[in-house]
Amino acid sequence: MAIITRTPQGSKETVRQKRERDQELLVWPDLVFVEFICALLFTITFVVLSVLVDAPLLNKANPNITPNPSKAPWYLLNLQELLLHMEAGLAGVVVPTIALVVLIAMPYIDRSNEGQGVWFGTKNAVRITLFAFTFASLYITACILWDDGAHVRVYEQASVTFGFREEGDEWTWPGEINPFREDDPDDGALSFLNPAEGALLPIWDFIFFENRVAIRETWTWSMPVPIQPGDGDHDGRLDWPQDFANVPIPLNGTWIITFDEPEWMPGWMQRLYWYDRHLDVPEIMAIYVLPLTAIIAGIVIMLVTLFKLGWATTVRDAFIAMFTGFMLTYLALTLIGAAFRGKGQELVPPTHVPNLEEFPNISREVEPPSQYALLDAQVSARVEV
Amino acid sequence: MARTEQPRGPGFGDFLYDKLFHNYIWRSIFRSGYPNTPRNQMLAVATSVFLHLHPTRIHKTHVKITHTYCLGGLSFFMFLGLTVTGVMLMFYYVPSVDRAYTDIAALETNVRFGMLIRNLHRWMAHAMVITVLLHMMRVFYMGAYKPPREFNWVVGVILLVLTLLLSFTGYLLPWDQLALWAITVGSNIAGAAPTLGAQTRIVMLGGIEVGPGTLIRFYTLHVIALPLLAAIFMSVHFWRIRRDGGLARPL
Ligand code: HEM
Repeated sequence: MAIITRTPQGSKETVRQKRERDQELLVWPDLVFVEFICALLFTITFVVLSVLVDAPLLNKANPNITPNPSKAPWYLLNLQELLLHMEAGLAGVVVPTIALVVLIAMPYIDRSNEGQGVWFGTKNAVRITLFAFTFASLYITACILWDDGAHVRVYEQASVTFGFREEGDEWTWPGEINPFREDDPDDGALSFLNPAEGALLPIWDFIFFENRVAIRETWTWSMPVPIQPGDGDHDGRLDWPQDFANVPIPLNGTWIITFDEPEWMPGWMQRLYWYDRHLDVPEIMAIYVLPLTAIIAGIVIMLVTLFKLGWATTVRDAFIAMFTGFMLTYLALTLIGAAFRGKGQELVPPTHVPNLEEFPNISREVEPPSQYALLDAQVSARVEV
Repeated sequence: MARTEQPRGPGFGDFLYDKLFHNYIWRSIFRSGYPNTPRNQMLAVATSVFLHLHPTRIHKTHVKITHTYCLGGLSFFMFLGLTVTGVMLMFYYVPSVDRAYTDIAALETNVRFGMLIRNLHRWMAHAMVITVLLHMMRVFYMGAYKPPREFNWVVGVILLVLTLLLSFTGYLLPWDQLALWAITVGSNIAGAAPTLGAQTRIVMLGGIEVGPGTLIRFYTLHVIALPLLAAIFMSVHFWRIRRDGGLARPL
């Protein structure tokens, strides 16, 4: 049974469950008792734990000795992990802020009352959760391995194993299998569509599949461009990445009209102006566009699959998938940051992650005197006197 | 044949009970006596400072441990435990760069049960982050954030952020290498914010780098400002649960 009440606006109806007095128990003793047992169990657990395991205390803080790796507290390790894959502001502030805002806004978007108050109360909720869990685990693992170039190493090894190339041969990933690449592409005819040197070469080369930063560092191509915009030296070609590394943005203060830097403004306001800003497009691709695309694509692929499968049909279903994905990502990035990031934040197996307490420079030099030893010494000294 | 309850004469137990709990001093503390009747049991909850955040009656499905796994309650329990152990730590700890580290080291070695208190505080702090996250998951997977509980979910998210901030500010206080560099990494993350990052970082650290200014800032936030805020939001959180008609139930 439900009670329908009107919200202040009188437009939407909120539904409240009706009180069922005959189904109610007294808080004392029924709830207070459970709480008491819970509190007791946990007190005992924590006292035992604290007797057995000591909290870490390393050397006194020393700004001159930087431990390698330096790690944030564990619940922030997921942000530190994100930091390795995208621009710092995006990873550390923008993405988590958006996540928090969506988390806060969720009840205002998903307002159906269906299936509340029961574990996985809606139809297909368990399925969607399991799907999102599996999908997100695989997706996160794939993204991290890709960014680390793990597949390149696999390819490298496999191509030797299966006899595509000799050990130690020069090679480019996997441009060497580009069927249109010629050893000497400069045969005079500048054909736009000639895959060996035309516009499609960059696509055939697939070099940017190496990892995220390869798009800026190893992916090179050159495209014939007959018309020349603006003046200055122009070689008739557009080259990636150098021709894209310093693109003036419209109205940046030097583009068409030149105006002075607004010095009368406080510094942070000046920074809001695009004065003398140039865009490094390859860099933007590597640190903003690709990571963001990966995040958005992950969410979209997951949701589209679920809706196409017919498992998800409502807003609640979409949120179950996204929330599960979010929590899994939080957990997975934390785990990777804690157990798989070694020196210099390299991706290593857990056994290679240095334990800070083992480092003489970082851990405590002096073994502390046993508990009470000092106090006991004082007491006995006084007794002797 | 229906059995009706017959009054029994007082036994020895009742005599003892009467002497123990019906005397002047006891009744001055506990007005309603030991709550052994439904009326007194409700009074016990409603009139006690410590229990009055509860409703007096509760739907029977919510008493089952598998409904909440006690996770919200455990988060609150961790908070209480942290307050108690935290106060004890404050007896021995001075938040200055010269003393902080030695105070903690001395606490471990020179103070009876000092190590135990420190361990308790540390492990409960970690546990609280975990229980709060799990609590959020249980609320989510039960759809317990739906109208009319939207706002309590928002209060919950604020509590989550406060919990993380409490834990983060506490991390610096031992002033060891772990603390210094973790906070350095953490504040660099905040410092990367677009446009206002550098300013945020300076306000947060009370300087350019983690130093004496940071220590006193984090200490003050950790022992006064954040716990106070958390306590306020927790009161609102608990109060809203009752205002929203108890825990969520199927319609
Ligand atoms: C310091 C942190 C928190 C404390 C001490 C706390 C405490 C509690 C307690 C004791 C309950 C009663 C039911 C239960 O035990 O599950 C509860 C319910 C609730 N909590 Fe929290 N909570 C905290 C954080 C959160 C967070 C992070 C969220 C969500 C983002 C949240 C959302 C809710 C909601 C919506 C309810 C009502 C659930 C229902 O009606 O079934 N709380 N909280």
